Amino acid sequence: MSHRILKIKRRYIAVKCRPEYALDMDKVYESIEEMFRRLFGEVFLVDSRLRRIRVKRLDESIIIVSCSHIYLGKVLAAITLVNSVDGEAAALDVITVSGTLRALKRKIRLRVS
Amino acid sequence: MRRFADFWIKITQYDEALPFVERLCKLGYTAACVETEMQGVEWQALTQKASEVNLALVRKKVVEAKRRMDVLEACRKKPPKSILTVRPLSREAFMTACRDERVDTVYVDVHNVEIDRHVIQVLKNFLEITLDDFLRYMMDKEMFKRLVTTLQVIKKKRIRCIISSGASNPLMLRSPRQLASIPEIIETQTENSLDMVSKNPFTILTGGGYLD
Repeated sequence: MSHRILKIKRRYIAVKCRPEYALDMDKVYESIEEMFRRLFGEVFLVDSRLRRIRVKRLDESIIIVSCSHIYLGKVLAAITLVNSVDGEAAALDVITVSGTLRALKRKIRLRVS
Repeated sequence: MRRFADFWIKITQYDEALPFVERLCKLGYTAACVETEMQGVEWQALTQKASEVNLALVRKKVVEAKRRMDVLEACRKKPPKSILTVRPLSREAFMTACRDERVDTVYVDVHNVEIDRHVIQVLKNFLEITLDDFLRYMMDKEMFKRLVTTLQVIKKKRIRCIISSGASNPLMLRSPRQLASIPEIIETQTENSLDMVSKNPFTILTGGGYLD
């Protein structure tokens, strides 16, 4: 209910994982969240409204996360500083950022094609 | 439109270089500085290969300096068309590297040096921080604290700074926007942080005549 009252502008971030094989997307999201928590703490994590968006028919190596537009820079920093997922060396590349999910999907299609 | 440069990548052999070039191009860079031992034909072949994908490669020499004399000697022996970065291991070397204009950038290794008011007074060169440092010191609380403090000083004193990847394998490369997000840890304006991967490196590359 409080989420409806405190309406925020969101940003949707498409993140591609490298290497593409054998990476569990749940673990990838966990590592982003963990990095954000380590850098900025629990309060900012809640305030950033960081969450994973599940989208059908999307490349398996791409994960979409959303956050408050105020925290975009901080979320990008957390994504940048992830260098391992579940003990395996990995890197997360931000493909594109958008204000709506629809535009994000369109941008991903353009980038991938 | 902004152009982006990765100011420090480490490549030892020609075979290793091609994935780097491919990746840098894909991430949207138009220039990169390479610390390498490659000589003559191999280096020419690599720059040729990179120019085919609109990527300019510039050689970079990184010199560790313990004393003032080490910095001065490195400046005297500076190869032409090569970026000179000094990695000071003492405060004395740090001060000298900061004020000698033959040095292009001064790499701030927080393990050895800290920026204080005396350094700021004599500072004429660009400082350089790498993503590699952040990844390396992520687990070391004390070092990470020093890194963030350095960023705060850079922001507060408006010091000209460059952020590079310091990558020794392609997995460590990040897009320019991602590199620029690192100063945003401490609420730096996006425009200012983007300058650290575009305007500032190109000031050196074009001003020093390193780009043809």
